[in-house]
Amino acid sequence: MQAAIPLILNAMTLISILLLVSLGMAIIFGLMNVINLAHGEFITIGAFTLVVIQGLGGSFWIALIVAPMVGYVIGLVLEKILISRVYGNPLHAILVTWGLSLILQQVIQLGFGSAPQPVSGPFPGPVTIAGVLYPAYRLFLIAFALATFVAVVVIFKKTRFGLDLRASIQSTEIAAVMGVNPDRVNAHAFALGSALATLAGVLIAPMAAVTAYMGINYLARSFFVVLVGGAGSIPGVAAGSGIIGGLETLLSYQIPVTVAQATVLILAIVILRFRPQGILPS
Amino acid sequence: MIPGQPLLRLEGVTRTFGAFTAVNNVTEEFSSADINCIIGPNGAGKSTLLNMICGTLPVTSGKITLGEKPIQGLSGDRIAKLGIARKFQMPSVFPSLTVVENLSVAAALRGDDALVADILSNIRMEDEAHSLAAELAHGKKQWLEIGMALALRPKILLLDEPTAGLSADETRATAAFLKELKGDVTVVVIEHDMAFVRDLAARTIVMHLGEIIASGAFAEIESNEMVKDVYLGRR
Amino acid sequence: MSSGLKKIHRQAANRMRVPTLVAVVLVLALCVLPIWIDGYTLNNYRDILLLGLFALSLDLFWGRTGILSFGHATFFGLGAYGMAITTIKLGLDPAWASLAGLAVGVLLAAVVALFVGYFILYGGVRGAYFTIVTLALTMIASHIAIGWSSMTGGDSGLIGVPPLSVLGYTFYDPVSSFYLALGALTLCLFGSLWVMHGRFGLVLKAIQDDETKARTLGYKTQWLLLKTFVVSAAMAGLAGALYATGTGFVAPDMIALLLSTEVIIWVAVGGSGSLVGAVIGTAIVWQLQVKISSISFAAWPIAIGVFFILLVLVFPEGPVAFLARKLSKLRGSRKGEAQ
Repeated sequence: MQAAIPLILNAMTLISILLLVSLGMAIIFGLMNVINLAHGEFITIGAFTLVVIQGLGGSFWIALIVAPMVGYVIGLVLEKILISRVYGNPLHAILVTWGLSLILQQVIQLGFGSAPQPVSGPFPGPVTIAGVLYPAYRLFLIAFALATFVAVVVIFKKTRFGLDLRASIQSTEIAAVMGVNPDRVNAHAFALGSALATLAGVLIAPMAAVTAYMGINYLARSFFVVLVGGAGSIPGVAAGSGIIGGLETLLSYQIPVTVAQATVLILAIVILRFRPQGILPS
Repeated sequence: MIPGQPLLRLEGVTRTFGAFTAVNNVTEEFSSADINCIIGPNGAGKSTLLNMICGTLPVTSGKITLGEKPIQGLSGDRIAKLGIARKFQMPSVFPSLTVVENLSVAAALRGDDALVADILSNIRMEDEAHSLAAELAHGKKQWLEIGMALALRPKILLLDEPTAGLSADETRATAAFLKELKGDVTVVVIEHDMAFVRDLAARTIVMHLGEIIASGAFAEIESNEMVKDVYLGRR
Repeated sequence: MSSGLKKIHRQAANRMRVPTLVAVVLVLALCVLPIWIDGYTLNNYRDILLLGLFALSLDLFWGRTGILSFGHATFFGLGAYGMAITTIKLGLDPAWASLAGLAVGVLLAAVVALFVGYFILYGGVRGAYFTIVTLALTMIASHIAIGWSSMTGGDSGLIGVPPLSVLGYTFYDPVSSFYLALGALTLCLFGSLWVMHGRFGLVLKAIQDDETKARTLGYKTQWLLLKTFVVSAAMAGLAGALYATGTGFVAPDMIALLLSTEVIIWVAVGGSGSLVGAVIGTAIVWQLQVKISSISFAAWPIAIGVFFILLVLVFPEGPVAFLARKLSKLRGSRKGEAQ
């Protein structure tokens, strides 16, 4: 039983990261039917914001607050000049956002070089939990990510903006009749999704190699979370994250990580064959 | 296929939706190579009957036989393979293919190039042979779709309001080429346009409130008092 | 033959005329190329031909079904790595090792395409979702290529892939390996033109228009799409396997997302759907690629990014058609002024 605790906690770490990243993607995809291949770049932007702030002498906590704001603003700008032109055309969205991600990756690499950037996170060192030693930072990450997820869900359910968003996901026409301004909702939804990914980037940075290409791995996994879990539904995102994250962690104990990821991908494809709408569609 | 022999038989066919009976105990025979018209006011159950024949809707009770084979309850594509082709109200053709290409694709599984040329002249569209289907007028699209259904060499062709949206001239032309099909294919047409039905001069079946209230040659039906009452709403 | 039938056959012949003509001219020109070009440059051309074959394989699927595969480098790479691993790591008799490598490369690509294609196509996945899945496929494939270093040589890849040798003859020197590539390309190009301009291509186009309608006509649409996908993958695998015998090595960039992206551009520039355009597009963009990459490492990916954005926002029909349209408008307005 004791041996299982690190496994469970590792799984929880990956799952909670996927939750944040995929939630953003689910909003963007579920609402605007836009496939944003640059979503992973926001993770990178979050991580590099931490790099810059710590380089300037700031703390992790400042970055944790600033980065999502940066992500939000960049999201608004991108939506305005690029994304709004490809609504309703998923193929165009793919091409445009892929092009964007290529440019962002290169620009970041030109600015910072290709070596991994040094960052430091709070709570270094292990703590004892249930009789087992486990990195404290990861426990913090799990708690913070889950709290953020819950907060976003609350925003969805309780606020005017959340209501507008949910109505628009159901049907843009009906929402418009209800007085919802679709342009505003789209813009802020995209920005929100991007901010979530940026936040995830800050959280990931102390655990991972911070390079210009770090985002793409999470891109694929979060896509499958959304597809397998069910596009446009929050329970779907939770289910998808649980499955994809849990399975990958479990498998990576026995086989190399890349093979574990490949296996999860294959399983996801098989699941999609028999349940194309996802496990918990909206 | 022997002309005049019953090809499609309906026996006691009924369809209910909860408490509502859409089709009530319909018994009827359709002879092969004949043209049949089903008319009746809205809500009479005509489309429901058609849906049951081609397998889109299951029967609540009753039997439908094609030749010797019972087909009620079989799936739509099984029935299609057995030789029942249906043309829906909204024309669906392949817009980025030409007329000839559309017909070729429909005929391809039967592997018959000569068939395509034949149908092209049947539906009187030789002049538009190389026009893109997307550019055709609504009426021509309807004809093309009928042509594609014919390319499947069906035993029975079901047409659901084929003259919807057609001009008077186009309607007349449609009646003309449907009449030419007599002897090759069994045609069952649901229609509202009385001028068209008169032109067809075919065996006519009148439905009302889910039941067949009259059937026979159009001339008889036209002078039938009960039918007139039904149409004028006196019943 | 009735006049209606004659019309149909004539129309089919017309459809084939322009691209086939271009293809014939292209192949003839390439046939005599070695007369003027020497060893090193000839090798370059050989590589371009094989990459053109790769682009052709993508157009075979994308051009006719309208479904974009973002993962075709997976199949190219599987072909290349299949060849390399078979000839280097398995210790086979050199007499037929490279033939075995060819078979392994092509089969590997075909089998992966069959598996992935079956599950997604029969699951009703089309359009953008299909694209994403193939993108993820390439990502995983390239991770494995880099991670499984004992088999694949990891980051550095494998060197020592022998030139192709068939029944005792080895395609060793630049001229023979050039003709090998040209031969493969010609076969596949004319084969594709013939099939795609015939009934099969027509049915694929119909499926692209309205898959449900095609099903009601009795076509097994998923199977037809899967067939096309697998053949397209096998062709990409062939290109990859031959490419490895030419360069003598394999590296992870032969199975990378960047390559998947580049091949899309090659096809897009030539105009997707024309088949021969894919080959021409490759030649055009390749020259550009080499020049831009020499400026800086980052310049080419940025150029691709900008290209994609422009492709969508400014010239969705492809840059060549866009320019052609602009030029004809210009000529038209000049004429108007002159009058």
